[in-house]
Amino acid sequence: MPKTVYIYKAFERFWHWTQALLIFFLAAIGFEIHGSISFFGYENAVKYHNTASYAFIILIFFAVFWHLTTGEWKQYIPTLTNIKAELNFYLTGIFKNAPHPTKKTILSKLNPLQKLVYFGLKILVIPVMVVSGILYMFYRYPHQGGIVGLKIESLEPIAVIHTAGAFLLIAFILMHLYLMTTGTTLTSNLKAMLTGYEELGDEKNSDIAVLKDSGQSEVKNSNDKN
Amino acid sequence: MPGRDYNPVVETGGIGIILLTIFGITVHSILRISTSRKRK
Ligand code: HEM
Repeated sequence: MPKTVYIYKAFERFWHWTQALLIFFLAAIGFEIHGSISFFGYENAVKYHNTASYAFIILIFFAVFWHLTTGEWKQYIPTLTNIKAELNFYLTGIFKNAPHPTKKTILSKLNPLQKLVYFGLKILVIPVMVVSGILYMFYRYPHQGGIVGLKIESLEPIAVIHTAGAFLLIAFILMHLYLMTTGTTLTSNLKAMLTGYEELGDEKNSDIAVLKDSGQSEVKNSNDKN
Repeated sequence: MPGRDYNPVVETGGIGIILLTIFGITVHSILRISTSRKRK
């Protein structure tokens, strides 16, 4: 019998969805600044992009704090174990109804591919976007009285890096939205991130905290006797 | 604007990656749908 497990905590869901909204907004508005679309008008777009980016930076501070204090950061340490099995699953197994090669548990909710990709996002893409974004923001165009504060020769590398990162993030979002549908059912992953609860297989996962009541659950593993 | 000029490498690369992603997703989902029908 599948067991209903509380897998995504309240803060985690809040962080996930706020981050999703902010990145959607920053991407859409960023491409307005870029000149690809027009909606708010350039000046407003810059204003909104700045405001959303401050909100994003604040959210990142809280998320870093949460990851560090809960130990959840450990879930994102990449591993090469099972990478091949995981790739094979998405390239062939999924078409033959093969079982997923890795089991999702509370203590290991990410498969090896997710670990790798999310680690890359957290450690590379997001920091690069934030740093290049801040440099972009505080860069002064030469014709506005010289480059104040930052001794950067040209805006070009910043603009290029920031734009390339934005394209990468959009490609990630597309993949992420598609892969979301590859759970037990088309919507089971979405429901899990909305409600926190997910039905996991009936494996004897010692580290699954099975919910007997609807209250909060604690992460327990076989070493926990209480 | 200095530095904000159209950069063909980023533009082509970026749109290329997005189109490739959309192509991959389309092929994968077509395969998923067709193989799941066969299994039923
Ligand atoms: C903390 C995070 C971020 C900061 C501080 C930031 C800041 C900025 C700034 C200052 C600009 C230039 C506005 C101007 O021309 O005056 C800009 C442009 C842009 N931003 Fe962001 N941004 C952030 C995150 C993001 C994210 C997450 C995305 C997309 C997913 C994004 C996409 C873009 C794009 C596409 C442009 C236009 C670049 C160009 O045409 O050169 N930004 N950003």
